[in-house]
Amino acid sequence: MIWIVSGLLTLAGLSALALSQSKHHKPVMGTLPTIRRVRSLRVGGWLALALAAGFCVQVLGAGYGLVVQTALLNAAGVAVALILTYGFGQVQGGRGQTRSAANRR
Amino acid sequence: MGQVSKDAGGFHGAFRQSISWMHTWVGLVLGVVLYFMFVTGTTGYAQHEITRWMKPELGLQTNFETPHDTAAMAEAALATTLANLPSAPLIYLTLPVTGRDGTGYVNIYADSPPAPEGQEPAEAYEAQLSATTLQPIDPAEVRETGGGQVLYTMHYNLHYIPFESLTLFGFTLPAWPTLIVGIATMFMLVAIITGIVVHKKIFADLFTFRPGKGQRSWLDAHNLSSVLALPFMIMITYSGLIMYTYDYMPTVKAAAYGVGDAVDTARVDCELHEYGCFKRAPTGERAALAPLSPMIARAEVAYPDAEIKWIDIFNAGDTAATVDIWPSGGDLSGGSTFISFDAVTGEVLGTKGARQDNPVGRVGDVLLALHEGNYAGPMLRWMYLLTGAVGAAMVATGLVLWSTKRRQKLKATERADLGLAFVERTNVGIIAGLLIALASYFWANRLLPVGMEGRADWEVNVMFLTWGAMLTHAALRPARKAWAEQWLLAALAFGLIPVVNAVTTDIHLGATLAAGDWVLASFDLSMLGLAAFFALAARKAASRADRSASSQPSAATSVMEPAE
Repeated sequence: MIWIVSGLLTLAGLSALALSQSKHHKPVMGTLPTIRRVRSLRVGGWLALALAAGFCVQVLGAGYGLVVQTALLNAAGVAVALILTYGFGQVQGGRGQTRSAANRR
Repeated sequence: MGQVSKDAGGFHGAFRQSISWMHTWVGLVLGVVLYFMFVTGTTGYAQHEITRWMKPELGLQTNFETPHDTAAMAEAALATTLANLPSAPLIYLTLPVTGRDGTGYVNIYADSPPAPEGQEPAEAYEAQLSATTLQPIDPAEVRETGGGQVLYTMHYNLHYIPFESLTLFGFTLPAWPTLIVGIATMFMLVAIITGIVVHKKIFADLFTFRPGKGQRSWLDAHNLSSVLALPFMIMITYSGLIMYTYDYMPTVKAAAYGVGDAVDTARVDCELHEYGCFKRAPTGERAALAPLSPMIARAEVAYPDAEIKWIDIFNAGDTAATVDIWPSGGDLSGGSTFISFDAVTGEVLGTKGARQDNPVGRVGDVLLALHEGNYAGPMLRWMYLLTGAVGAAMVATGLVLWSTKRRQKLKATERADLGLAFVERTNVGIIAGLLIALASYFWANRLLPVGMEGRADWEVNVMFLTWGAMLTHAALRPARKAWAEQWLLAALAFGLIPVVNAVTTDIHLGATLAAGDWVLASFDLSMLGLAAFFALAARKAASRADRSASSQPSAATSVMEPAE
């Protein structure tokens, strides 16, 4: 159960942190993020990660809990990277910028 | 960008260049050893489960959650041992622990007494006792196999290399396998640190993966696998290195404990290896062993949050006999914890706990516990398996990156030099080939005749012969075709294991799923999962091979990275 709760929180937190970067925000949301958006995504992201870590430590103890949280960060990080790439068509989009004239047909 | 900016002059340019050079070469030179260690080490996290799959005669097991009757198992195991080897100086019992290893049996190992002058000592007694029936499993009925243990042992001892060491000036150097593995681990540590230093955009590129762009994509994959799993990588490498501290720095041990005959082995055993602290020399007088059950009950009171996993009995049948009972808990404190009893009276002689007066030792114990992962529950152990696989992918993508980068630098009419051609081809044989070899180990386990002489050794020989065959195949085929063919072979080799299992044994997927033996079922399902992954790789490699076969200059430029 704790794996699911902390896992989802970690996934949400890392997603928020990823979206706070322009190169990932653009293909997902369509626009470049405003400064306010970046700040709130970063705060929210770190908050979610802190909550996830907190839950892990409280339920599983400090040692075991931190190991579990580290593992979740790893797994969620890979998931976010793959979702951004394959889920939001970044395969051809490079840095999320508009396609160059050469590619427009 | 992550690329070395060769135009940057001055200190920073040169520093970055030399760090990058270092990272490339420590990775490349011992990449094959590191890849081998990651693959075998990863299997090590499931070694008991693999062993059980490789001994299908042990049958199904469904009791995973209900704790076993420790006292009953221990008494039965001891009785069996003494019936076969009445005056064993050393008896090791390993009991199955709920939810943390996949065995359903007690493992028994008993040393035979030393032989009189000129005679060979009797064979050690090794057996397994079923946890449910409390009956010994007849070794003649179980196929001889190294199981998962042999794979795990290869992780740190490699194979075919004699475990001998040189002694220089009174100091014993590490054994050859330990030396090689240690140098590889040190190279790995250097690779991690230099990799972090040279990765300029470590945060900006944290979630970046751009497939279909040749070298750029391999670099992204290499970066992702290393950075996202960085805590694990640092931990596993450093802890692996300190596991052999006293081998790699023998003068430290010598300064504390002396050399040669002057060494007080009992003190070394207890202080360094945290073992046998209350052991006593045998008196030669016979005395009956007190029953184990009260001792076990006392141990369970001393360790309420753990299960009893190991019982060591020293000098059974002597008046100086002792029993050490070890708990196995889910905590990270590592080190040795046990309670020692006088085996004749049943009184507590003493306890050994975490090294309270030795903070450095305790840190080391925690690191070693993290490395081995024995404390981990099932879910965390799956994470260990996945992360270990990511580590293997990290080394593999690094090796491929090296050759891809150099091939893309070649002009259209330039041919690859010998070094590039060599690495390009051996990469296939090393990376895909080792995985095919691993599958062949499981095939050999099912197909080699059960009564065959030296069967366990031959299962491993098949594995290395297959690896050799894959390296040969890679040497003879063009690199792109070799990748496609070997990934396809890997997919088939793993995917058909459940089929071979069904044809040759009773513990196939249908039986294990129906009976609820999740441990055995997980093995077959994992084989299918790996096969699916390799099939995907085969498809990608095949399309890449087709593209290059019909390539024209414009197609070739599409895989070159855009100007940054």
